[in-house]
Amino acid sequence: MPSLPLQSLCELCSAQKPSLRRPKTGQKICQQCFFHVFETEIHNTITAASLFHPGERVAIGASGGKDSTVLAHVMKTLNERYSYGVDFVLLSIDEGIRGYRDDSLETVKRNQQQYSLPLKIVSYKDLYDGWSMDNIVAQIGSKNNCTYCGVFRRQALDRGAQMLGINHVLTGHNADDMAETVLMNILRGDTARLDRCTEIITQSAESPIKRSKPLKFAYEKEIVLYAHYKKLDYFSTECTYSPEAFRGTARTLIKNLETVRSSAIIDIIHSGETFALQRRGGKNQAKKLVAGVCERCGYISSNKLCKACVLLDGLNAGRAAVQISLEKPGDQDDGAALVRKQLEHLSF
Amino acid sequence: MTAQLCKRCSAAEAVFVSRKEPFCRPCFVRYIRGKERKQMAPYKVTYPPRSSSPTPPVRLLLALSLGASSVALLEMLVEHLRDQIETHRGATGFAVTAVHVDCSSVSAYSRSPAAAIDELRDKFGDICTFDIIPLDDFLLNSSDELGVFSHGPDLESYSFTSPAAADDTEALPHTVKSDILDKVRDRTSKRDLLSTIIKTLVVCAAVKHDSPTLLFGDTMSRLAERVLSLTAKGRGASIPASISDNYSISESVVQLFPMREIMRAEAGEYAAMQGFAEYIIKPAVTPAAVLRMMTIDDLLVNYFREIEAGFPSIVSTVVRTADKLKDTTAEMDMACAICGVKCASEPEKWLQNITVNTSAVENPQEPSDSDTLTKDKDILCYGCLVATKSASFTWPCPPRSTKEEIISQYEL
Repeated sequence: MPSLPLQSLCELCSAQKPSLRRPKTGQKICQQCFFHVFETEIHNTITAASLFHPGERVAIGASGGKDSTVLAHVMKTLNERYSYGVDFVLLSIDEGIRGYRDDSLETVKRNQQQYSLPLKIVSYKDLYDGWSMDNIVAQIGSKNNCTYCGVFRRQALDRGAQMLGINHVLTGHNADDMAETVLMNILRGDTARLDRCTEIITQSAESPIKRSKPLKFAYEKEIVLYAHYKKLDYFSTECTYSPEAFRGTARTLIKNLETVRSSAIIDIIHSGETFALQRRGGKNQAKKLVAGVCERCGYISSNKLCKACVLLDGLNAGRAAVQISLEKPGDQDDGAALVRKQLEHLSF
Repeated sequence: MTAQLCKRCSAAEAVFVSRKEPFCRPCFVRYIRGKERKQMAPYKVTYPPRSSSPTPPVRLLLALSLGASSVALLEMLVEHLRDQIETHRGATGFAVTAVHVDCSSVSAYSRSPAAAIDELRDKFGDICTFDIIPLDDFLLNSSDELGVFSHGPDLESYSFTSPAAADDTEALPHTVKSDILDKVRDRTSKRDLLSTIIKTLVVCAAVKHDSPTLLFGDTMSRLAERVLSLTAKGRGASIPASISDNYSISESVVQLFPMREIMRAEAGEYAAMQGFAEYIIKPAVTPAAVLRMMTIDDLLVNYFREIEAGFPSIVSTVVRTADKLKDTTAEMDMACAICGVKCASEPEKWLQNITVNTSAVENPQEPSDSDTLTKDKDILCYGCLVATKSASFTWPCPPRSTKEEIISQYEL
């Protein structure tokens, strides 16, 4: 066999032909080495934070997108390789966005087969008086609906986990998401979140369930490459309901920073980890939340009603008029997301 | 279209719109100076109890980059001093020494900084003093002046002279300097290291001039850019040290940003209105327009320029948020060998854990060179670690002097 010149060999093993340039470091490496470094880094992240204990039952928040699909795959792989002894379950939330979530849920169902993990699907409709995101958007319009979706999803994940008797949920947040959050919190002046936004485990008085992010150091581009080379089955459409404009500028900034210096994303996370706020006595302590339960639904809340119930009240107040025009909510006309998707495929 | 009237005096025609408010020239000058005077309030002329002679002035050191904002600040300080002289019969609350670090050996400028300083000295020599420091002092000046950096026995003991410069120990200072910065290929790192050097030099100058306060001309816009730039460069921990007023940057020197409430456009307009534009030096090379060629700082300048239109309050939000950050470095016990910021023991470990560098086939237990590296190499903070990664040389790591050494050297 003719020997290849040194330059055209993988920079890590010097044996294989490189097949990719690693986004994080710029090294030219082969597929095997890429899988190895990608998985080992996630393993290091998990062990450094002692995320799991043997015998623990843990839910993986699965949306069918690239992050959660790679998360499920890597967790299964590492669990077997390093014998974490963790019992994984897939947990999906059905927001009720036709043309988006119904398709991605199909992917999750296939993932369930591929990884032979149990799957639990919790839907907004069942949890929140029959409100799906399509209904919500029909009522409040296409602005600010991320507020509803965010509050509802957070609670839905918790409730889903509780139904399964689990108190630890993994989410697929990647390094780019973390860096974006750090910058967003500075740009918005969100001091309440600034110093804790890079923590790998989030546990708050507002939620009974522990969340963690094993992919917090994994670059989005590497997740895409990993899914591509491992031929993972994932769903790659962004949510069709409006993303926040301001967040978009932060995302563009992160991408540009990454182009200028590939380590920028982890550098930002490193900065974020060093942030601490000056705590001025009294004032903050008075604000300390007292954990109680929502009077209506029993979910953990520091106020009389939890956020989801407050939002639901608002929605229900405007419902009467809507119900007159929609006799059968079951086969009502298509949601805005699906309509938009169909329009995109129109041709003349 | 009729000319807009100044909103403050409702008499003169507006010449400049700032923060949506139209200003005439005198009102604008007064408005901007008011912001500077507010920050400089502690430096009023004071009289000790039962005495008619004022307290002697405090010497303030102005870091004069000769950019628009620091030139504007110089003008304001000169006017401030003139006002004090007039109202207090010749007495002033402070005295100013303006120091410029001459970087013309590494970056070209529209005009010679030395000439600009000479002109300023001719014009304002009676009010304040001027000093110019060559960049190479950072490496070559082994006299006592450079305090913390003067402790290496001689140049040869520093590894940075090898291999390129070691065979030519007689090399001119400029050659050595540019050689070293030339070896940093990454533009962002180059600029980052250069600013560390400049800051060190001005701090040393403040110590030398016995000045307890160092004034920087950074505007609010610049501070906001710096907050994000430091974050993006992994230097988040240094944010309080880089933007907070009254932060002790050395044992005896604190920093102050008198322009922190002024926007960049305002400072530029002010300098131009007051006829100071001629002293401003600009880089001869315009910043790259291609993304790949930009530095992180360039990128953030552009980001703020674009976003300010849609979200105007963002600059002040960023600076105010950053002001609430705690200086976590105070609790650390190691100091970075380059920038001197205090840091956790091993930033390298953090990085190695999440950037694995072993191959899939090799035995992962094989000792990596990282273990040996941490032993005989000085501690670097995370930011400097990232910045020097692209350098093809070992950055000079002079031993830092201890508190006792500095005290014995400078305490009178």
